[in-house]
Amino acid sequence: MIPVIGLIVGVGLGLWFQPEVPESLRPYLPIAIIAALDAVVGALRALGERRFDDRVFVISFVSNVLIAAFMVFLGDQLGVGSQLSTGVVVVLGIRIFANAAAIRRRIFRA
Amino acid sequence: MVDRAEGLLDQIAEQALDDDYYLVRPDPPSRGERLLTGVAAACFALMITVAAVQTQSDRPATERQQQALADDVQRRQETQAQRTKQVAELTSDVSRLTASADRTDPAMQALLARTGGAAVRGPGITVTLTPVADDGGQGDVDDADLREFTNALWFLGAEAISVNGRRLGTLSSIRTAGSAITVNYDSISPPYVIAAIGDRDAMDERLAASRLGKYWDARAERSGVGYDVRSVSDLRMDELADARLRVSHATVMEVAK
Repeated sequence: MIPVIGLIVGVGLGLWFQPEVPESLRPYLPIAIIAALDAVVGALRALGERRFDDRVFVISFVSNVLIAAFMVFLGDQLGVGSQLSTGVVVVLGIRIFANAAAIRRRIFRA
Repeated sequence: MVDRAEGLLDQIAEQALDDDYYLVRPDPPSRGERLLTGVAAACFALMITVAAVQTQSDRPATERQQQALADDVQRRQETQAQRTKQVAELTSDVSRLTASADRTDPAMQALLARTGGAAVRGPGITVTLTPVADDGGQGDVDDADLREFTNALWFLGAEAISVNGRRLGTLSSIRTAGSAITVNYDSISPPYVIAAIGDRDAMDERLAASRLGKYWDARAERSGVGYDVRSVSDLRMDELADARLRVSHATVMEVAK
């Protein structure tokens, strides 16, 4: 229940304040979202398997976002631009799809 | 969980779920932890919303830019059309006025004579400059020297001037191109003869008294460059063929197939 309320509150805040993302933070936002999505999909799978743990979720969420942002930053500093971000997206994408497939198997038994 | 994954990507897919979820914790989650989960979910939703809103609000900016450019192009095109129309109007004005001008009018004839639009004939003087060196020094004669003389002669009362037979008009030029001097984009070679029609006695006298005349007397003495002024009773000059600006267009040629 609390997470659902959290989601609604988040959307509401975003729509209400419509904050302007500073130019310097713009490259980080998409990767941070992918990383957060990975944590969320993992949490949903764990929820289905009755292993969900709030603490693991929060820690994985925060660390995923921070590490992803750091990778983008590092890529910029190393001068490889978006290539490091591409790597991050590939790895997180595989995880997201694998977890989504596990959820699908559990729900549809297929 | 499992260790039989072969490649790195397989391993990622196998361990898609954080291992920590498989650790069984005895105590149920505290209220604070559940609240943190809600906060994390709120953060997630907030990030997505902000990104979406940002993308939405960025789009009009690019559209505005495009629109501004399109407007600019259109405005310039309108200006160009207007100018083209103006050119056509002025051109027709010019041809109308030219046609209506009375060529027998003395004022008109004097103007034509001065601007090279009509052939002239009469007394005058010639200035002959003969270079004795090719080094750009005192013994050489360059385009600046010829310009100085023609300007001085206009000032001294010349009504028509030619340089080596090339009549000077409103659009004439005297320039150096390579090693040769060109008059009206035509190369000339030494000796350079500047002929001026007008009151020959007055021009002769004034030129001799002018600083330019004195300078050239001294220069001729010093370097041996030829400087000769003569009074001539009958000079003839043709009218200048291209006395006016012409408008040239590129035209598309019909290619026969």
